[in-house]
Parts: sequence; structure tokens; C-alpha cells
Amino acid sequence: MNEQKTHFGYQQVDSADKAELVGNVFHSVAQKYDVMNDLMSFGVHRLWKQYTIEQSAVRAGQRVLDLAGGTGDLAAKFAKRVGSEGQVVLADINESMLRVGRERLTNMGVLGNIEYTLANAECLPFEDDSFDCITIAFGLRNVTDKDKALASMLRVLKPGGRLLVLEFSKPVLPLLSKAYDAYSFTALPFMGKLVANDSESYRYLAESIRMHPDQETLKAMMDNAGFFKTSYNNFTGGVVALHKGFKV
Amino acid sequence: MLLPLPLLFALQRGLDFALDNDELTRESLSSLDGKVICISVLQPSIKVYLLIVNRRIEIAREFDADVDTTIEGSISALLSLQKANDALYTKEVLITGDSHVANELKAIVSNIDIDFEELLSGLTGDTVAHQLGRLGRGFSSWLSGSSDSLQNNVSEYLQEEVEFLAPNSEVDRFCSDVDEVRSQYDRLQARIQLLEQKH
Repeated sequence: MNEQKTHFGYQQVDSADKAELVGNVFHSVAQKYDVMNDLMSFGVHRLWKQYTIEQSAVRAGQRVLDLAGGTGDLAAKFAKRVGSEGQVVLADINESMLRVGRERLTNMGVLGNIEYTLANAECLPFEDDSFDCITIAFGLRNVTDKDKALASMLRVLKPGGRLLVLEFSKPVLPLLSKAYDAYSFTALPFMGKLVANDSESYRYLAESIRMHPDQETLKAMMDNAGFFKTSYNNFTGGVVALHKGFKV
Repeated sequence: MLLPLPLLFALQRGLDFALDNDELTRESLSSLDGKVICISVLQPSIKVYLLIVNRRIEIAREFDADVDTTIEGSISALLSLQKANDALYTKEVLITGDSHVANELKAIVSNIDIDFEELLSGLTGDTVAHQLGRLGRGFSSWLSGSSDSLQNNVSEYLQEEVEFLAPNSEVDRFCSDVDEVRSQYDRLQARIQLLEQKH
């Protein structure tokens, strides 16, 4: 892969175009995003997110950045944890997702300690050392330059702060891997067509998962970016992994 | 061992429901706002973390950062703290970190008095809730009376009928006899030492 090209699912596209292509996918699915998440994961994504919250060790008064926060599942829980003295910033590169997230959280009564920012993870518009915890759930694989994004996250983390990356990964059991492949490339686009009237976006989802770095590669990328004490936990046999790293 | 997630969700729901209906406890929680308390249960070894935020309590199974206080002990010892502090003196319960936080929490838990009749009235109306409340109090009183009676009967059977256990008075007399023998032994030993020194 040369410097000008990157992958968009299984396609090779110009790096400059990827953000727009990913943006179109999420503009298309934003309204049905939560329903599709529940359908595709059989509701298990709620457990993965619960584990993420538990690993955050966030407490009252802290500042949390929920990157690629989408419809605000994690942000809502963090807002409860940090209380009125703390702050949560829900950031997403996609305007439609951010709008849906904002409406949803406002309707849930999550107000006062939450801010919304349209931001690109590769160049975060925040001061150095400004967050106690950063989470990016099911977002990193859509970022064009992941190394640049990890460096940007490290910059805005406070020393001692932690980054949590929840992302699809590589199943560790061969049988599970085969079943998962069959499910992703047949059932997901079908469900996408049926519920969101968009099978292509969900085909992209399956392809982008396969193109995303596996557990060890992502851990090495976090090490290279400067995070320390990096580690990961596999969930559901490695279908999803939670990577954790700290800033010195 | 991690608390199973369904149990965590059930505990959290129960706690939220109780706090929603207990303004006094919520008020008293404000003194602990922002604190993280680890409750470490021994046998089975389970830790839960109480995060107190905006007069609410969030229960977590993991918290790999500094906590303000850790309260450690068996389930029975921890539960006994609600009524008395004996478990602290006998070291069945250990408190590390900020003991003031632990004392505050203990005081709050001891003062929790959930009005189940009031909670029930929201679902069934006042009349039915009152009748159910009366029934509940009657059952509780019967249970308490039966428990005392059972304890007395079992104790009497074991002591008087099968003579398997000695009555309290006999045990006390035996202990005081043992103390007397020990004192006599100590005096005799001291006298022997004195005689040895003289000769």
C-alpha cells in the first residue's frame, strides 16, 4: 500500500477520500444504528460496553472523551459516573451520528455535564493533557490514519490517563472464525437491507472488520504510539477485543 | 471472582429503586460524594466497588485505580456491622484507607429504614398496601417469636434432655475452676522458685 492509498473495506481508495466514504456509510445508517447494533450482536454489544466502563476506572469529577461516540451509549454511562463536577465530551467525525446521539441523550435527560464536538480523531481539537480517560468504541477501524489518531489521543490524555479501544478483532477459535465469516458476509448485509434498507453499508462493516489490525498488531501500534502498560481482553472468543493503554 | 453480571444488574436496580424512595439516605450520601469504596468479601472472594456520585451509588465489579477505603471481611461479619462494631474490634472486619469514609457509610447503612408499605402503595394503592403491610408485620413478628422459641427449645433439649451440652452456669463454674487451678499452679511455681533460690 503506498502513502496515497488506503483500504475502504476490501477496496483500495485514495486516503483523502476515505473519511468521506466512511461518512456516507454512517449518514446512511445513523437513524437505525442502535436497532442494528442490537440485531447484529444479539444485544451482546451492551455487555462489551459494560466491560469497557468497568475497565475505565472513571470516577466523579473526571473528564472523559468518548471518541466516535455515535449514539452515545458509553457517554451516557460516563456522564452518570463523573457527576456534575466532571465532564464528558462526545466526539464524532460524522454529523448525522452526532446529531442522533445528541437528541438521544437529551431525551434521556443526560444534560449539564456533556458536550458534543464534531472532531477528527487524527487531529483532536483539544488541549494537551486534558482528559483522564479516552474511549473509542467500534470507531478506530474507520479512521484513515490509525497511528496518527493514536498519537493524537496520547497528546490529549493526562499523564496517568488511559485509552480504551473497543473494536472488532480476530476470533481466536478456527471454528468460530468460520461461522463468524459466514454470518458477517451473508446475514449482516441481509439484515442491513431489511432494517436500514442499505446492504452495502453493512457489507462495508464486515469488510472493514477483516481489514482491521488483529489484537497483537493493535497492541504493538499502541506501544509504538507511546502508550505504556498496554494490554487487551478478548470478548466473545476474540470477535471483539478491548485494548487498554496508559500515558506515562 | 467477579460478581456475575445479572446479579450486578439486579443489585444496581434494587439499590436505585431503594434510593429513589429514600430521600433521607440520598441526603446523607452527599457527605460521601466522589468517594470510591471497595467492599471485599472473603469466602467466596468477591470484590465490589461503590462509586458515590451525586447522592447515588453505582456498583462496579472492577476498579483498577486508587480507592478511598476498603472494607474487608466475611459476609456475616460485614452484615453484623449494621448493628454493632464488634467485628471491628475482633478484626473480623478490616478497614484500610480513609476510616472516616467507612464510618460514614456504616452510619448511613445502619440508618436505612425502607418503608416497604409506602413503596407498595405506589403499585397497589394505599388500602391494599396497608393490609399487605399489616400482614407482613404480623408474619415478621411470628417469625421472630418462632425463632426465639425454637432457639430456647433446642437449647433446652441439648442441655437438659440429651445432656449433650452443659448449661451456661456449669460452663461458667468450670471456667472459674480452671482459672483457680491455674492461679494455684502459678503460686506453687513461684514458691518453688523461691525455695530453690534460698538453697
